[in-house]
Amino acid sequence: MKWIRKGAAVLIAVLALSFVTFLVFQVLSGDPAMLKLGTNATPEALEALREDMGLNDPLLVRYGRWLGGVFRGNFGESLQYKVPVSELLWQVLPNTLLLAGLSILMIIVIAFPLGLLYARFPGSAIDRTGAVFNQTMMAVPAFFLGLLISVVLGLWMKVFLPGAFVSYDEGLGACLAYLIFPALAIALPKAAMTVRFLRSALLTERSKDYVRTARSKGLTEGKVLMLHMLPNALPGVRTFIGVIISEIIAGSIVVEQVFGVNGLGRLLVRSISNRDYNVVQAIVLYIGIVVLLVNSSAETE
Amino acid sequence: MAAGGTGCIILLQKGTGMKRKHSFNFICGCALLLLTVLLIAGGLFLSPYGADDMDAAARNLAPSWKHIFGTDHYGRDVYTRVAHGVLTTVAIGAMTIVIGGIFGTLVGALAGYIGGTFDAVIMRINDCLLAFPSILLALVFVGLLGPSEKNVVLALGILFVPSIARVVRSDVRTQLQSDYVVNAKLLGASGSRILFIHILPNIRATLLVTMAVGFNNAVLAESGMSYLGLGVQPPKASLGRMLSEGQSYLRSAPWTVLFPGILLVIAVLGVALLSDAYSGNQGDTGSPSRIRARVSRKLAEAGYGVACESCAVKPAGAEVADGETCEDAADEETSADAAAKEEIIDADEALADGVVLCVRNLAVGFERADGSLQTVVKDVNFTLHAGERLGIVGESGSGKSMSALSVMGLLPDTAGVTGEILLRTDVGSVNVLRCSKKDLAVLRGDAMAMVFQEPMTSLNPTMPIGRQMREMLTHNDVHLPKEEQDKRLAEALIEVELTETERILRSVPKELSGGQRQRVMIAIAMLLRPRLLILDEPTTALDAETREGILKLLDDLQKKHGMAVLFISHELAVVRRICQRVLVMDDGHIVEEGTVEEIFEDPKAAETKQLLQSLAGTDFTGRMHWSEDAPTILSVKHLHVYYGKRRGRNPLNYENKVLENFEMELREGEVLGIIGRSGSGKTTLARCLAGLLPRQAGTIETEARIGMVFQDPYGSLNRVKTVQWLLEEPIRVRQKKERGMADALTSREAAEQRKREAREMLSAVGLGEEYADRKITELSGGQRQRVAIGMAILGKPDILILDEPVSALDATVQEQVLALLADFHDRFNLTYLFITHDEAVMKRMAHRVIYLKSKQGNSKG
Repeated sequence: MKWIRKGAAVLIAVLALSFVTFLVFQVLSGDPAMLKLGTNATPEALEALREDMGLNDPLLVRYGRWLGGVFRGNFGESLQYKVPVSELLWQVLPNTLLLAGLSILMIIVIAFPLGLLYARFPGSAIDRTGAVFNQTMMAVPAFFLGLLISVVLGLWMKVFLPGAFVSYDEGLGACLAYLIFPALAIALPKAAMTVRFLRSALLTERSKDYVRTARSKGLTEGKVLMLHMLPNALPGVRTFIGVIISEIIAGSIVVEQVFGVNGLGRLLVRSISNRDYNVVQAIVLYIGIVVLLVNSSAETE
Repeated sequence: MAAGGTGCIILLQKGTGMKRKHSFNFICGCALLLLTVLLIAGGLFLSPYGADDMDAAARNLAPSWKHIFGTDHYGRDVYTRVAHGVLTTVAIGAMTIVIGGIFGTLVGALAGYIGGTFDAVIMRINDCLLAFPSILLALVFVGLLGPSEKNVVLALGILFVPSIARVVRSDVRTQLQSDYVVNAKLLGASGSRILFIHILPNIRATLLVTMAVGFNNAVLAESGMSYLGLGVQPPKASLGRMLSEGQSYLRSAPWTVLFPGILLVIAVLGVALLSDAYSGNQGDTGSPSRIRARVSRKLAEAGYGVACESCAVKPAGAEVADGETCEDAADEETSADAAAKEEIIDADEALADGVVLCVRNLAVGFERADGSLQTVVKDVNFTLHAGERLGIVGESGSGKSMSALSVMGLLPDTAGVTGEILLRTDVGSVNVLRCSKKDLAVLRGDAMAMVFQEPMTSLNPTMPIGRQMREMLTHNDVHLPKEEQDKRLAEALIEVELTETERILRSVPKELSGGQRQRVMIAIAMLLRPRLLILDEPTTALDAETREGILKLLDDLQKKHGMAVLFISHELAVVRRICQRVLVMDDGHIVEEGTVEEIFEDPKAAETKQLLQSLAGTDFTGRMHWSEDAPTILSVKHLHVYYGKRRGRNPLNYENKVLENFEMELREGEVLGIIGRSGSGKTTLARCLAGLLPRQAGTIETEARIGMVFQDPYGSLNRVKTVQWLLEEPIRVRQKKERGMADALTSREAAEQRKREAREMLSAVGLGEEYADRKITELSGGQRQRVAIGMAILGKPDILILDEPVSALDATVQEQVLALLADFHDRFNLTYLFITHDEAVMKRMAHRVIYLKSKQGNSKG
């Protein structure tokens, strides 16, 4: 029952999202017929095309038709590249998913040990040095971090060649090896946030009565931390990581640009610059749905 | 980035309270911001170059004295451009938070205050907007309207509204629940007055922190967008733009990227550190082990813990501290530890035969915020023999719990401790205070165990009871077979008279009642048959019936197993029942020690007499005059109060029935007592009579003005205001209502009247003039309650509802506040409705009593 209600809520949210997307890109963004024919077209030709494209139909009819197309994976044609939007998406989507996956993995691998370590020795030298490092990492924008990584690891230490991105279909291993670096740029600031959250969640638990009870039973500090405090802090951390995941998607928009990764973000930015709204709407819809799904599954009751 | 960031910060903010302004964070934050300002000023006013001056001869020059940050590919001076760029970025950030801050606060405050459907709709939209990464929305926004600085500001500003609104709204809602807002409502303050004068000042801190976070997010989002070419347009300098232009020359001119980026980090970091210092996040408290060492040393210097010669005990302060420091650094088995162990065994001869615990010259202290020493336990000495039941009584803050916690080695991290605590174990006597944490862990559970006050919170809420018990069996690397363990656990539960052991072992604490949980706690403590059982107010949180059962159980268990019991309590009656010998503590000292008979029949110390007297209590009922035939001023008929959702169509069928068919009459001048357990609807009734609960059936007839005094004066008084302001508030509200009437006062007269009446009340409640300018946080509990009573009476009520007015106070303070209430009854012609769970207090105050049983009607007495 709980899941059905949750599912229904997500479905309604997705529909609302699709309607807003439709409204913004199909109605408010300007006249598609004008875009297709250019400003020199005669009024008669424009009118004919409008009739032909169904632009004169009532709003809801147009929405229904559009939604039907979307369900069949038909987002229309890219105005810039003259190919179906879905084809464009399939070229770049796996790259972005790989990048996001790697970033999440890194965040978890970095954040959990550090957060636990700081919470184990609060106020100690390790903790305070860590806090300064954390603060600094949180202040660095991902794209600047990306540039730093490119300069230091790429140009000076020659660990990789910035800009020489290999797409997933040209070689998965090479693709992943390259994506490590943009993923690092995305993950470090977010990992710092997660460390900070985990630490403060653990310290909140630390002052609770049951922790004192656990100590009075003779458990060592390490066991109290891992067996008692951590399980009680986890639900909050889970919600937090849900928030982080939607931020990773946003972060990748800029970082893909820095590293020349041929992904969703890069396509989005290019399409916005080119006013290629069919592509933009598909990407916005896609990211929106991902965000909705992640958030509703990370939510704690 | 921004939206999620704010979401994170909302989560981060949970659990922060203290403000520590001149911390490391504060100093660093200020330094970084100062650096930023100086750099901007230098670039704008001192630099010989313009931001857009191109010099074809000076392309991509490395940093030098001429161009301290070098030049870019157009030959422009990077330093000058960075200064302009930071300025642009900061200006955009500032405009964003102005737009978002103003609208966000308004939307949030209104949604929170109005509530209902309006709130639900606004917040639904808000949550949807917040769920999306705001840089994505900003990109779409700018994509539609075209890239420009103005559109970026507009987009980021609008997108900042939801996050501010959410914070403000949730704060307003929390504040609305708090007693001080209820109090203001009762005094008749208008909605806008409550919102803007009472509530908003209380959420200023959160608001500021959220704004700072929003500023940073806006700065980062703007530079991101400018980097993508969708923000500030060239040739205007902006940091993001400079980074994207410099990217093509990473190899030949990395400085064109590095300097703008570093400046961006400095500015953002400065703001983040300052907001952290303000919110008290990650304040630098110093390493706990070092604090303990320092405080312990201070204690020793203050002369505590220095032994008298006859005891032949060395002062332990400094050595204890050093030992702690070592093991905190995670290297357990050091030579220092080994040496400490030798010393532990040395103590053996100090314990005479039959002695289980010997506490000598124990002192416990904390460091105040100004660095001075606050000693909470001073030179405490006592011995506990095998099988003996020793009680420690005293009011809260007398140091009795701290003494018990030091025996277990469970003092808070920041406490310093000196003296000796010698404990008998299987291998000999040890000094608990010199044990490493590892050794302590071995002692706990095995040699000594403890049961705490709050059974509701003392068990891990997510771990099954069975596992929590099993931990006790296995923690010292004892490996019993699983079946043997299960048998022991079941036996332990049966021993504390719990049935259905299978079910209990599988359940988590919330599935058990308070009494059952306390039994489980006792079972855990008794699992390893400790020599010493410490009970810290084990029955205080329980109701009378359950308390009786637990006391009997403890009595039986002690008789059966013969362990020594250290029983901490403020309830004299309980101590009298359980213990053989009693220590009376006051202000950290032991003021008297003796057998139960000696203490209760023939107390010597003044503090003991006072404790005993407040237990007996003065009868105030005679002092408050009333007559049986006085007119009824409030009558309640067929009152039903429900919470939760309605079931079906019946208007009276709700999930949660709090009061059903309640009836009562209140006559002028009487003190009517309402008594009942927690959860019996006492507070609901109070709020209902005060007209604060909308959902009710039945009638409440009265023409009287109703005032109210709450249980917790800390919650019922606005913390950001002074005592003077609080006392003036009821008069101010009244004056506002009278404004426009013929005989209204001029504003100066009104101010003088307020000041005069407030001062009169201040002295009437027994507080000196010097308290007028203090805040509630600077007063003691009793003083706060005095202010709360004064404030209620200044609202000129006919009926004063007293909702557990003394339950949070110590016995002696309780006595004083009750006396004050008794005096005011006749002085201000009041009728009291006195609500409490404490029968003893009720007997001394009420003329007539109504017993409230949970979820049903009432019986009169």
